[in-house]
Amino acid sequence: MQTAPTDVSYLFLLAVVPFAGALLNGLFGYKVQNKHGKRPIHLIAIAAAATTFVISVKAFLDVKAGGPIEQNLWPWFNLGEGSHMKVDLAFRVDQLTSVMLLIVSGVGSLIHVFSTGYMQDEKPYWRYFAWLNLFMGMMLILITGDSFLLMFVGWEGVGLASYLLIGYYYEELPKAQAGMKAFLVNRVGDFAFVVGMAMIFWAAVDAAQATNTAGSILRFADLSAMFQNDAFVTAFLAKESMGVPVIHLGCILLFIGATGKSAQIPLYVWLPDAMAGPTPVSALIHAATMVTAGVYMIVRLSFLFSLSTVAMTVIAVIGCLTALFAATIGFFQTDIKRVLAYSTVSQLGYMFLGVGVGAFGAGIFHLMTHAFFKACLFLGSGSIIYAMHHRQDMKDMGGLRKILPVTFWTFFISTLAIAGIPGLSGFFSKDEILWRAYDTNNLLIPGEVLWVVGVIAAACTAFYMFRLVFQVFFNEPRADEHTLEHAHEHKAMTIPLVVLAVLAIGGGYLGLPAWTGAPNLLDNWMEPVTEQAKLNTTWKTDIALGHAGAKKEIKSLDEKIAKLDMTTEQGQSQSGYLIWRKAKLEKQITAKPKSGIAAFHSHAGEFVLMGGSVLLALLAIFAAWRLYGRSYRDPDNERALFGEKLHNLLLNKYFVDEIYSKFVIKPAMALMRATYWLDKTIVDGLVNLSALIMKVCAWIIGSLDGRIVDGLVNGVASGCRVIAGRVRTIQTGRVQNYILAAVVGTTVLILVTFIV
Amino acid sequence: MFEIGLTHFLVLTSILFCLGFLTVVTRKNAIGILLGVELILNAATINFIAFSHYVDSPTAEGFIGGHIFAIFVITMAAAEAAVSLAIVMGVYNYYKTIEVDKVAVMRD
Repeated sequence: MQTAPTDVSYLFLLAVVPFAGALLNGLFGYKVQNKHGKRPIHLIAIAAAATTFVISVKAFLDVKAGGPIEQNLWPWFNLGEGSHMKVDLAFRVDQLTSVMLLIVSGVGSLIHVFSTGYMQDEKPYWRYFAWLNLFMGMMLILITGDSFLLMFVGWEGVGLASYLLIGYYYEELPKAQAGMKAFLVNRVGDFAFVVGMAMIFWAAVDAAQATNTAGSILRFADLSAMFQNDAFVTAFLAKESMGVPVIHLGCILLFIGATGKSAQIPLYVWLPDAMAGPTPVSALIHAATMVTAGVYMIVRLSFLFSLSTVAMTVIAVIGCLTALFAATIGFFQTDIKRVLAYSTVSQLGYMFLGVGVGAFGAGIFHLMTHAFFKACLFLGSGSIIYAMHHRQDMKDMGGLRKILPVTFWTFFISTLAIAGIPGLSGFFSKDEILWRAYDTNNLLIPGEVLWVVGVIAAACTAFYMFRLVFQVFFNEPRADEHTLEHAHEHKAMTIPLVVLAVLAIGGGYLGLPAWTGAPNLLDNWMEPVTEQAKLNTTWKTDIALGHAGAKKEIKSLDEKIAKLDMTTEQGQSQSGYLIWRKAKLEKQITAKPKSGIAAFHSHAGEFVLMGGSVLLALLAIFAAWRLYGRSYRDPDNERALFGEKLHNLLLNKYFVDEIYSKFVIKPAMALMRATYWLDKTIVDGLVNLSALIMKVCAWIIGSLDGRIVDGLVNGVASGCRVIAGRVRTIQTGRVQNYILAAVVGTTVLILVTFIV
Repeated sequence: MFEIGLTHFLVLTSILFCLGFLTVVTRKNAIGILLGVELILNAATINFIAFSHYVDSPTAEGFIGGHIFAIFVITMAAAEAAVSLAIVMGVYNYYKTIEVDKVAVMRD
């Protein structure tokens, strides 16, 4: 059970510090750069990123010492006490978030450092770092937000930052378009995400009111506590929308949101195009952090997803298919970054396979190791591209092993890791996922099928990654003399590479497989977050071993219950949860395996299966060496070797972009044109007609005004003028005239007096 | 027989006044106008004397009220002539003419 969170006061800095950096560079960067050069710019940005890393370490230590920590800033939405809509602006760090925090801020800081080398010739240097910091802030909000709403703020925010950074070279139209494509495709997923969120909220409100369950639904912690109430869960599972249970529909919609952000079938198309951005951005956003947000979201809501067998099956199948599909596309790509992009899509597929089969810890484990080796690969490609004067096509490379030694070794280590060579991080995480896929008893389809597809995808990964290594680093250099002469490694770039390569080797030892007998550190660490979901998941090995794991847990629960002090309030509330868990586990013991061969579902079986997948990967590497190790093959050569049809199909990415263009974009454009026509002719016509009528009326009124009203006014004025002209002549200005008038006047007056 | 009385004086002064008035109204020459003013003043002075002689009742000092006025007028006329001629001199110095129509700068 998750212990009650401790209040801390420093979590808001995780968001504020990067935003401050972004604001500082965004507002004053241009002037500062012109006046003082690029140094202050990246110092600000790196300081902000490094500060978040320090805070993340502190948060991690605090969580380790005393469970989750929380900072509640102020009430955000509140529909009254006791309502189900009561969301605060609050940050919360639990075991899952602390792992994500360390990955995001750690890899993020390294990539900030790398960028100072890679981007040094860029003019809008300040813009790049402002946006990079903006991304960091948004990503940290996404993972530390304690509610759906705050997570959504971060979710949209990283989308914005991603758009801005993909379109960093916006002077070139295709690159600006790539940014737009990413944004629009993400929008589709985000829409589903919002609808899913609303649907879960709606069903949960009804269920909570029916069963009188308290709690704010949009807060993750509250929602997970509500799902510990059996009456509430029953009421929630009974809710239907359009004849489909809301739990399935809502979870699938949330997952569609994840497919947008995390580039899964069918919304993966934006990620390869996102390579238009600067390479460090590809490493940070499009490999290590943002694209894993979907995986994080599902693990965060694991208590919910694990209740929906349908959604879990969909996630696992989509993840598995994406892994294979993207891996095969990677075969014949010639752009070094595109190969890595498809590799990312493929590895994200593995993560979804992991969380889909119910191995939430394994999903996060692969997320972490992938962040290390993929960031290293991307940064390595950045180093290569930098040395090759910003050329990305493999035909211009070759033989770089001697010229870029640090890049080569780090790249090679990471390639070994991604290929699943034993001893490196990728091996442990990928293997745990594959084993869990084989072992799962939660899905509607047999896990063995997923395992087979996953292993084939792993072999494909090994093949295309080694093709990449051989094409780039081995054989004769194909670059021109001038480029080779200047090709070098930058110090700011090699340091992050080395750190990431070390992590790519060592990261795997946090999650050793069960057959080694060593503890799976990461899985144990994540236990408080995933334990509730684990009550809904069963494993064939556990069943085959007579539910040894579940029985052991029941025993430890019994001990815990006996130890509780029932006189305190805390003890009573804890005992309720423990008894509930025990009941759930006792129910699990009755579970039967859905499929599979019992003999394989043991630790020995895991070992054998793992050996099989490693063997296949080694075979793939050998094949890559036979084909590419000794000589460079250009696309024409490959076409002849693999057959024109296959080569065409894979090189053109199964024509998915073309299919989307024909069936989605063209109809949308046609609709756009139709509505435009409607708008232009009918709506505008009406508007113009009314304008015309107005114009005629105005003309009539105008002429009336001009002739009659103005005529009167002008008539008075000109009358005055005529009279004045006459009268004025009396005033001659001659004294003699005035005297005459005075005397004559006086005389007349006197005469009148006499006569009258 | 024919005796000169008040009426004759009044007729004389009326004629004199009218001549002076006409001079003032019609003359363009500033000095001419001053001469007209002089005539008007003289007409008034004769009236004073005439009324003093025929109408006034004597005081302890005799018929003296009109006489005093006459002397006042003569004195004032002398002062007026001096000031006016000085103005005319100033005008002439500035405009090189003493025709009143030509110096009407305030009018235009």
